[in-house]
Amino acid sequence: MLGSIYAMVALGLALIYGILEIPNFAHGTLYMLGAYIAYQLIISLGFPYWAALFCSAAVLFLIGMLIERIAFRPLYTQPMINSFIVAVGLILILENGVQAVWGPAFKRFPGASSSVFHLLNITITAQRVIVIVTAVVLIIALHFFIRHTRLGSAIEATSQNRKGAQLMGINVSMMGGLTFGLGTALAAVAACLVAPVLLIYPTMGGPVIAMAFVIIILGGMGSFLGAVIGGYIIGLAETLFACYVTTDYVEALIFGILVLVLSVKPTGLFGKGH
Amino acid sequence: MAATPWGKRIFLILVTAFVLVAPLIITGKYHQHIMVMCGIWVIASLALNLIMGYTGQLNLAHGSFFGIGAYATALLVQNLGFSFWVALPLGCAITAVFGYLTGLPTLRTKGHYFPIATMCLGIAIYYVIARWEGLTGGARGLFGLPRPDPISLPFDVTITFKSTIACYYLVLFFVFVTIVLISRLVKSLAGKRLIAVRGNEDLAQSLGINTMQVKVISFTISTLFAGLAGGLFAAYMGTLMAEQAHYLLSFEMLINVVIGGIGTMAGPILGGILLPILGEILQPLAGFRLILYGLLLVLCIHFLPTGIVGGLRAAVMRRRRRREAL
Repeated sequence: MLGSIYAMVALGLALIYGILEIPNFAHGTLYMLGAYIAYQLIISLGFPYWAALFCSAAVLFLIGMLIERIAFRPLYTQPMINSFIVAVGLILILENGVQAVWGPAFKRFPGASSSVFHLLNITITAQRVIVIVTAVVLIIALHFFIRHTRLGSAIEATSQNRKGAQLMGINVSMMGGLTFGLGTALAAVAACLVAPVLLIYPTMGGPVIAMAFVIIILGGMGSFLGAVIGGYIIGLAETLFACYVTTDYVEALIFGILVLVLSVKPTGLFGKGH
Repeated sequence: MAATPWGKRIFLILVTAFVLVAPLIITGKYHQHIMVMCGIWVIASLALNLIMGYTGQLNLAHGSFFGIGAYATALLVQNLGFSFWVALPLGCAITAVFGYLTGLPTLRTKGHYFPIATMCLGIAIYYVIARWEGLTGGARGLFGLPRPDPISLPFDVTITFKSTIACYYLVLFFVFVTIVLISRLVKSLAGKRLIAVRGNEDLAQSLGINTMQVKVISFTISTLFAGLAGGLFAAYMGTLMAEQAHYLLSFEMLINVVIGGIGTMAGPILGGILLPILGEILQPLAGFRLILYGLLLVLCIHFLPTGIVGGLRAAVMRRRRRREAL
């Protein structure tokens, strides 16, 4: 289940990286924001779970486009370090903004269904099944969108060769905004899916963004397939480590994996190479 | 190296004289405390600027190295009974070794990997410190750390570090050491190599510069000074919390450098003094302070990417050019 969540978050990050070449450090914070927006819709407006998830994704799609337009697009011609710093600024704004509105405490998030299945000797809650199924459906849908629609092909073309795509008449700035929105919406869906199982809190994005970056480096920067497979590998590794070794130092394990990948094969499993 | 112009030299002498007598003029205990903190921030920001401003590699784990230095110094004093004067250099050395070991794999590749890796590292270090109850006290932190041991001089003179003023001069001493060492490094041939790597890594490599080595050395020195700032912080405050290794701390140092002026000597010094003071003024705003900082950071990159110092320099240049044109 964790793998599905990571795969979705990492896929969004990889999409954005593929087009804009920005490692969006604020991705985890946007993931957190997605969970809080859905939480607010459910608690105060009484939205059903799925409606809240959908609205949250739509809102985050717009926020993502807006951020790309205002914060990142004017910086394309400047040194990369400037975009990184802006992303850090966004983390500060969003994380503390959420904390100011909703407070720093953990919040419980009602799920779609609280029933429990028993299958052979395994007990599994319905929410976990929903997470896995939704993630798989979304990933397949996204694959279909990119491979078999005009818009998706335009996005892929832009990520492969920006100048070439521009010469073919593709509006690359537009694609940048769309992709940023899409990636962000994907993170929001992932957050809404996992929120009923875990809890939500303003700094929940930190460990997730670290995982997501390690995943896309493991999978190969900008590779969609790599992000999905890397997501499941890291999710599995984390679960096994937490189960058999310790839950305390999972973040250190993740950094260890990163160091391993960077030392052995910096281009990752499915990377295109430098 | 070109001779320093007279105007600049007089200005530097005046500033030095002011910081030397400052605690005699500003006698409030609270204000003196802020001055000590500014000194510590200046050291940390100068260190960050070395790798970020001069070498062009964004380190998002700088605060964590500060934390490692602080915890290493504190634990050497508290658990092993070392004197502060032994523990501080050892703490710096431990931080630098850690920096070197993490720099080796993460600086090997060009481009985006280093900021990403250091961001993950910062998060990892924070959680390890927050959860390693046995060593770091976990979330409770460490407390009751002693101030530096008194130094005995001939003629029965001893310097103690009980008062805030004494700590101020202690920190000030290290600020001067840091400024002298880093500015000499930056102006030396090695410094030119750093700047070459920042400008264009491929070009620097083709000119025969071992870019990997240059980056790792710069990073190691940078973490060494981060450790120094951390060690001083531990001895001065007497308490340590896991927050002293949090990635928010890295972000605050980043803000000091960017707002002050990235890639200049004066920038981090200015930022390291101005922003902690601003932080104290904005204390009543609590969480909104950081929202404001984030906004400031984004606006600064968009409209004043070279920070206050860079902006001032550009203004002076414009004026000079206009005068020459007349």
